[in-house]
Amino acid sequence: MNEFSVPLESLRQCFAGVIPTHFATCSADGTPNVITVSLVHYVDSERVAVSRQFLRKTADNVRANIYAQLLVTDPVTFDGYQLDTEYLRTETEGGTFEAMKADLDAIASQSGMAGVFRLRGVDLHRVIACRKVGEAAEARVRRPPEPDMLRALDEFVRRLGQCTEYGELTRTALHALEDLFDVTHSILLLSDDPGQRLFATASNGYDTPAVGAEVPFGVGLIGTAAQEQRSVCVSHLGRAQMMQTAIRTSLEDHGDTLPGQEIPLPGLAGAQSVAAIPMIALGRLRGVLYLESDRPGQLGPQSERVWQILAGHLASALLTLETHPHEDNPGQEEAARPAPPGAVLAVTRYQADDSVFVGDRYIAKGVPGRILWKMAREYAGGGRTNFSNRELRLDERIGLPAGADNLEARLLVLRRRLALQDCGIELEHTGRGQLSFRVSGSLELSEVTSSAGLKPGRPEAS
Amino acid sequence: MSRTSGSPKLGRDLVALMLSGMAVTVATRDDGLRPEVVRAWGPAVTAGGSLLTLCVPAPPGSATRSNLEANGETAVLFVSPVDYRALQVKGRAVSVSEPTPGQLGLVEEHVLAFAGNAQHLGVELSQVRNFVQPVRHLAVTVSVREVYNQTPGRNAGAAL
Repeated sequence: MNEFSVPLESLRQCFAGVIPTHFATCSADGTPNVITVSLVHYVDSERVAVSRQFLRKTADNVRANIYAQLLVTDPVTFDGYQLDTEYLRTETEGGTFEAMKADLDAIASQSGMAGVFRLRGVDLHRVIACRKVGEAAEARVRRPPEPDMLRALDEFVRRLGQCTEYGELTRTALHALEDLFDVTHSILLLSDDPGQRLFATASNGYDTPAVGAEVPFGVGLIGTAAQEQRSVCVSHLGRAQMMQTAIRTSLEDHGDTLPGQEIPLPGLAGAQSVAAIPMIALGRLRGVLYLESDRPGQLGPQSERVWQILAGHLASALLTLETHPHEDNPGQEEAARPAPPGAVLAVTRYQADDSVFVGDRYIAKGVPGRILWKMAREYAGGGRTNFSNRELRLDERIGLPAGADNLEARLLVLRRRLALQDCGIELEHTGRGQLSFRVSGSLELSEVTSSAGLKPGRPEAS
Repeated sequence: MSRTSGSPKLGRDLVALMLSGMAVTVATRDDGLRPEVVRAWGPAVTAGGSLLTLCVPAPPGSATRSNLEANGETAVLFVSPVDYRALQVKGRAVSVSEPTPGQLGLVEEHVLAFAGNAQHLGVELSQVRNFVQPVRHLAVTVSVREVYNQTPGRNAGAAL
């Protein structure tokens, strides 16, 4: 094992920093070549991998002459480090290739450039020397001390362990991310059952809550993290987007047709670093924990393992509450009662996608839409207000899958969407597995058949 | 080290781009074909675009200094922190000397221009100053032999 004057592990944040990595090679005839590389991946304490996208000359050089050098830059102190390397081989499959592909695909997809360039391979290099460039001057920028992540993780797990209700758990988790890890903006997205879309169940830190927003699998950073079941951490989004814009401009200058426009991220305008972490429990993707920061470098690969531990624990805790519901006994069957005085609320269901509107306000579609429609019908028909999770699970018209059905998540979305729209209907959690449907007025129901189409106003994919 | 003859390789537009506060790195190599890459500052283009001069950190005993003295083969990469436009100049060092006060002035101008360009990425001037190694610099003049487009995209690597 090599012993470097600077351990390679300590440079992980440099590989995805705001300053691009420079990569120098030399041809067999002795002509040097230097380029910037879009992605360098830490493989282990002795090896790094370099993405091979536009590097024809570099690829030729390392095959003819294995010696190369990387110049990386610390994103905080701007200290430089030189890594002398020897080319080992090119990989076109396997864990390292797939991890780098997921990162590049995610950024390309986010920029509307999915499929424009494929990752041809990743070049593995053995690091034979690693040293700091120059000497530190007295007035140089100092790296601040690392926070105690283990202590914060311990407290995060403890707080989640106290939660007994689904909504409380999501709220606690996102608030703990802010309290303990200084992640001020976060969105929890859960997967629908066939694994095609993610829907935002909870968010923290935004002026407008993201609840109800949807992201298709494979689209953008979040969708790619879900589809590939791999974390995507972009510590310097500005730099990554700038490179994609340069590629886009280069292609447009040559008349190439591009597949799409840049996809706006669902949360913070001007995010500088982002992380989309798949939440996996019992071997299945449950959702994606999406973190954002307006500070460059905060959410880089150096903290990826911490986010993965958090996301895995959160996935398990949500699954536990989902699959072991503790339902309180329902109250006595209520007698039909007249609607309270108030406005007449028009509730419309569009059969094409089960979307439900109250007045002109879109509330929900899919399973949450069907739940809302069921409750609205039974309220309008007989004044019923109390419902239980158990009966929702048994109602075939709602169409929940057997097993892990994400009912709690869908109810949470519905509750928060109703509250957000302030439409005169509320869904309250009155006990474990018990819900109260409250209406400030009477309901007037109507349905629009599939052939009549969809009403605009439902959320598009973010 | 003799200067390569031929028409100038660096036109007015390219020179304007190169002097606009781009990030600059210089790669050299030793006799065993091992490359060495360092940051460089204060570019200047003379002789109708056929000579490029830069200040590079090259204290006595450094690999860069040895390489420049031994064979002079050089590649210089310019990358814009504004839009990632990039180009690479290849050639041979035709002179290596102590920087003049004027050349050191160009280094300071370059630092300020680069910091201004990189501001939108959250980069501060104090950080950019960290780039400039507090070691002895040399003024290296390269005779331009080849120029390549290095902007990411389909034309990366194409000769200009």
